[in-house]
Amino acid sequence: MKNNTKISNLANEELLQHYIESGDIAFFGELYRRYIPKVYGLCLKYLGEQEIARDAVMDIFSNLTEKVKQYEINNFNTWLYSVAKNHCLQLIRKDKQTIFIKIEDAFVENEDIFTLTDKSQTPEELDALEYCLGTLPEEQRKSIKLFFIEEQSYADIVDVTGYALSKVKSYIQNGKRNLKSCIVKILRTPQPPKGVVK
Amino acid sequence: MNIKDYIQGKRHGKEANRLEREAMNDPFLQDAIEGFDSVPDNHLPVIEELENRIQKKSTKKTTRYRIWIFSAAASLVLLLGITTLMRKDKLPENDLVHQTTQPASQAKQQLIEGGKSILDTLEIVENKKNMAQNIQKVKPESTRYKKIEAIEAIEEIEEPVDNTEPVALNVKAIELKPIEMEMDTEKQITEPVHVQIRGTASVQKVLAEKVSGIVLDETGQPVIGANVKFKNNFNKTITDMNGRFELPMMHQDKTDQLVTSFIGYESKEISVPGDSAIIRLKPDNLALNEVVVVGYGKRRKSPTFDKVKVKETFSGQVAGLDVNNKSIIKNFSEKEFKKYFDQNRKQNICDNERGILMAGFYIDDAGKPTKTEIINCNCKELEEEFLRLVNTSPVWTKTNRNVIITIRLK
Repeated sequence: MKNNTKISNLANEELLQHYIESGDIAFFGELYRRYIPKVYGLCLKYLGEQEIARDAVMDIFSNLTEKVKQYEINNFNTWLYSVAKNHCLQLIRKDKQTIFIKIEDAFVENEDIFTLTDKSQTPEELDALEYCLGTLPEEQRKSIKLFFIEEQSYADIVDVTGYALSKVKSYIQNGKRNLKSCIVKILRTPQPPKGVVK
Repeated sequence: MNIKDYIQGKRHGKEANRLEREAMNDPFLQDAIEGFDSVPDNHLPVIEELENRIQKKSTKKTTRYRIWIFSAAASLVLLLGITTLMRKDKLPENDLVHQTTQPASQAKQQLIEGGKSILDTLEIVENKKNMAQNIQKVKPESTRYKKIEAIEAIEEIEEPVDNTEPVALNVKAIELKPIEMEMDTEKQITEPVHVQIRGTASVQKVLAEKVSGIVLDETGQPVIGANVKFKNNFNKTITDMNGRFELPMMHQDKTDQLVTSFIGYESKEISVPGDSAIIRLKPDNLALNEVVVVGYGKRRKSPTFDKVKVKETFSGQVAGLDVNNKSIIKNFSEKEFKKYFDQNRKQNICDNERGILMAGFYIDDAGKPTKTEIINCNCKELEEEFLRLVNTSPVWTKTNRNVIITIRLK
């Protein structure tokens, strides 16, 4: 399918760079193509209908071919996210007077959020983590452990625990938040809580 | 793992977990997954279709792309014309050609007229070299396919266009897109042909014309809801809130009359205008006769009887008729009898003797006095009168005791 294997081997950042330098639409086309599942999914979420979402994906592409050159883009993913989201919201605004935004949007987490196992951690942090896991409610602790330590997917956890899918998601979400506040509190207090753990 | 696999249902295992964790830190991915989950369907074909479209869009160079379309269109027009001419005698079974056959001059005239009106908005391409086309080199099977396409697109052209004469052609670029992909025009250009393609006008369809206009009253106000119709056709419409109307027009309607009517106004007939018409209606002078409304009173029926009072004076006995008021008196004893006696006795009796009478009797089961006994009486007339009235007195209240009556005349 790809005529130009060279282009498809380039990384996202390189594609963007080449496009801005040369203006050759082939580079940007390839970059955008890689994001189509995400953009289409996003449009589905906000617009709700396949036909409209499909048109929106194409519209966003033709809007961006010019726009991309005008901005200094550090993170294409987040940039595209906000542009695509705005496009969808504008479509909704045109269509309806009121916009319904799901409450879950409020819980979307930021990149700087605490990650449990992604980073290497100091012994103090691990101790704190272990202690705080113990303080969580049963469902949250179970879900968190399965998700982050045993690396099971939501669907796996549903199978193992028998909780509903939406419950699993919220257990992990809430558990993560509780863990974070607990760990931050412990690491800031002068006395290490080791005695308490044992 | 790829999001495409994930939405295809591969949601187990570490790979799925990795994507889910990625989504936690990437709201874009989070939203996308939510979006796919919110509309349950197989989204993969749509995604692939979109990917193909984007790829196609980005791999073609737009400037050349356009010229290719026009050159392809031009060559097709030529191709069509010549092959039609050549095949006209040989292939009478070609329905398409037969249906739309018209004199070349007329067809050309229509094309030019159509072209003029839209020329301003067209992109003019005059690239004679690129337009050139050697028909011999086109592959026969693709020729046939393209020819049919072209006949649909350009109905008016039936006779071959003279190669040396510039002709304004109307070609709808969009409809010719698929042809472009099959032809590689660059290879086929061998000798220049003098064809001038002027623009990308849409196909001239005689049927798709419309007549429109506005209907106004005598003061210049729009008339809402006025009927507008062709005189000899069933097509009709009514004017909108602004007095405007639009009526699709068939070919034969062009020579027809347009009839506008509205209640209270004279109908108006005009010949069908070329584009837009302003129709002014005059008020109808036929006034209605004066109407007189008369009100009538209504008489109400009411009963006219008076109440009939049965008085004591009706008392008495007539054969076959018993009218009395005995039954009306519920309680009749000594006191009532004295009253009865005073009212019914003969006057002027025993006035001199200051008559006095004392009598006793019993009441039988029928309420009649019995065993009447005069205890004391100083006047014969009084005694007779008393006995008469005791026997004719109303029904007494029943009692077992001995009733004693003393009457003193005043």
